Amino acid sequence: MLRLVKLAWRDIWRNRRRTLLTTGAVFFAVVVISLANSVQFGTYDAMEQSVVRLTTSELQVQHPRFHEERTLEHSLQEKALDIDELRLAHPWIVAASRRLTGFGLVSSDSASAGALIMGVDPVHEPTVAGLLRLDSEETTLTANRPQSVLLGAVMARNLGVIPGDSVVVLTQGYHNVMGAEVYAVQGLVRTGTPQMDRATMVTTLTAAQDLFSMPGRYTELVLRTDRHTTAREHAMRLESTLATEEAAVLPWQVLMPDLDQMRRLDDASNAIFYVFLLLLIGFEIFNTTAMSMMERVREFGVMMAMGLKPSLISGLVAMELAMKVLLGIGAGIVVTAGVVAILAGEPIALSQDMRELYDDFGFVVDGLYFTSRPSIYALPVVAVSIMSLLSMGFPILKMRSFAPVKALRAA
Amino acid sequence: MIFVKIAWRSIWRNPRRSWVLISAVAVGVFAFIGVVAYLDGMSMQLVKSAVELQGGHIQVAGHGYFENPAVRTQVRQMPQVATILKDASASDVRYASQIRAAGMISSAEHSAGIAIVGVDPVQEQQVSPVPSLVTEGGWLTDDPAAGEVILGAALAEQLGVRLRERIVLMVSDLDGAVNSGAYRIRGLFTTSSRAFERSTVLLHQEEVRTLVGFARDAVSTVAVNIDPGQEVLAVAATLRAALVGMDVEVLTWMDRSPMLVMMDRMMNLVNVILVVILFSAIGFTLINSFIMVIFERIREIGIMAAGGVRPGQVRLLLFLEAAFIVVVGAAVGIAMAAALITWWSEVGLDLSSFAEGLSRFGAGAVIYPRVVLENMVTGFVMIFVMVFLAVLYPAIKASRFKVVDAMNHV
Repeated sequence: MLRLVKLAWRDIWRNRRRTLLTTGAVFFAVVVISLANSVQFGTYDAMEQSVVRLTTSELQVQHPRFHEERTLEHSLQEKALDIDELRLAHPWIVAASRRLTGFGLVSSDSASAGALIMGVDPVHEPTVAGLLRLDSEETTLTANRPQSVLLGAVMARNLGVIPGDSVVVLTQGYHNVMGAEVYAVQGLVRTGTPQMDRATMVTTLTAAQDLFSMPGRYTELVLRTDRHTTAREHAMRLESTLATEEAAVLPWQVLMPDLDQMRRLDDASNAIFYVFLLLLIGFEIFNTTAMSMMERVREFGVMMAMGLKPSLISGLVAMELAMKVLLGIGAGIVVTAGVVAILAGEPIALSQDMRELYDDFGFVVDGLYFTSRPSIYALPVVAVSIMSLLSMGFPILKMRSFAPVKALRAA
Repeated sequence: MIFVKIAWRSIWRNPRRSWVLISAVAVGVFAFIGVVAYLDGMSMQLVKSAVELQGGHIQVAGHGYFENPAVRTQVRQMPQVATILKDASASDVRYASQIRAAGMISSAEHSAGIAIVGVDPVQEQQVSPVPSLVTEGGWLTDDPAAGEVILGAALAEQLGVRLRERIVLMVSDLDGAVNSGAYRIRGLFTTSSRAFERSTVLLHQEEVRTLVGFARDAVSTVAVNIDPGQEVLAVAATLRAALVGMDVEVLTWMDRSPMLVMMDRMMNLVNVILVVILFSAIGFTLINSFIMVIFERIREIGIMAAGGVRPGQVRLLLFLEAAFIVVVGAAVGIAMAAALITWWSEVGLDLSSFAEGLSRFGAGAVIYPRVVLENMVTGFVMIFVMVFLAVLYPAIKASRFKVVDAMNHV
């Protein structure tokens, strides 16, 4: 066995060009697929993270039924969950903020529109989600001006109001208590999402609690964590340690099924691309294997004439192929790791258009991101190994019907 | 001329070797056509389903409606507009008029802000994907007093209502008075966009007309869809010219949804990257195969040289052989790809069978390949160039061998 290994090792270096062809094909396959994976995973992660951190944040603690049935009856009590305790027990929680979300009819003198009414904690909201852009001067909410609200920019235009005007808000609050209140429009919210800008009103948590007649209650506790990819695990861990039965922890995948599905759709769509790419690469590996076999017919004839058994020769060929493939995979991983290590630090910036897109909409990715996580090598290594195993079948079958005399005469 | 003959014979002299090359070209061409047709089909599909959901390829609305979709901004002479739409376009333009108003929907327990859309049940089926996306119950009947609505499954869930239950719609009419009406849920639709599903309620146009107080011939918008062969901008320009004097605006989906345009561009960018990756793989395969095969023939080339064939002629011969192989290979590849695409165009490729959780995309997840001629031509030019480069190096090398060395090469 050891002799076979030695023989195979010498064989592959005897004809370097031939070795380079197969090893090169494998190397190239590994590099191409893992780089494609790297940019695909990396860019999607970056996009998901930016959307997640703009809108829902990674996790939310809600009443167990709030997500399916968004009604104020499914709300939580401030006293039941202590944020500081929570953060102490789970150091991966980076920031936390409470929200109260309900619906109402917002009217100006001339028109009215249905709106999502968000009561947010003016201090902590910007640390968990950036969508409302509460950091600019005109949109800073403070607790000492409870009668001030922010309106979605499109909604304000449709209602014909500008900052300084007032609006009347009608709601059906907690336990169906009707609420009516007059507010001064303090500023406008531009999220970049037309649906939101058309139907959103933002105010402080306390003001919303008054409006919906539910002091001390809220609907969502928004948690920013250190990483969005582990949200599901974090959600499970957190939920198991919550003191109260009346709360569920939902990861962003549940809060924003659209985003999660968009990625699945894209993954599925890329699968088609990989099918074609693998077809091409598999063909290439098979081709070089078959060719190097054909090239060596005469050599095998000589070996047989000297008494080597066909099974031994096919073993030798298989061993050589395995070595070439392993060399190719190894070199491919090393080179990819190097390239990815350089690219992972800074994204490749997209064209100016894409940057404008970023400015306009506040999300979407501004570049192509590469990830260096090990899972990018899974598909190339598995696929190339399987294809190499399949192409080994050819020389082994061929050896069975090998006629030494004819082989010796082959040119 | 003699070299053409020699080249042709020489590729069939050793069929095994030639088939290796031909199949390399064929698989390359096949993969490239498959991928490009798929990518073109996919980006069109995603844009198409999003556009059709959001009011059609072209939208005709009252002047200023896009800026401020107020109920007072209307297309006031719908019958005339309809006549113009039919006359102005040579092939059949499909259109559907709608009356839109912002309002509130309430069930026994909950309420939500929504867009109320009054549709013509018959026209709507030719333009919007919503009628085909009704997954529970049925689409609206053409009965202007049926008192029935269609809403998104997500909205129904949110309101806690089911099929055949009653909901109340509240809307302020043209005079600012709040009107309301009770309706029975006839059907629920599911789309790829939860936002759309949660914010849209459809009912018969005449019921909304009464509720909001629109005049007999007035509507809010007209969604116009064109056939795949037509150019959106050109049709929009024709319609704009024909509708002058009607006090309406004509907007394409590109005007209305910069987000979709960006998504479209973003997707094209990603597609370009994928195609570059694919082509580098094709190029590698071709270069690899050609180098391998030519180096196999060193001895043969030595003998030719000994027989008096000059280096330039050796190169010419190798290029001619390569040209034949590319032509044959491309023909085989095109034939294979044509078969694939024909079959694929019929059945479509349902992405939801590749990944879990995509069922709600419905028809939106079924991709049909699309052959864009210019993309295909670009691809072929690139394949020819790559083969040329693949042959260049070994051909130069082979033509410069020392005759004796080459003949002794094993």
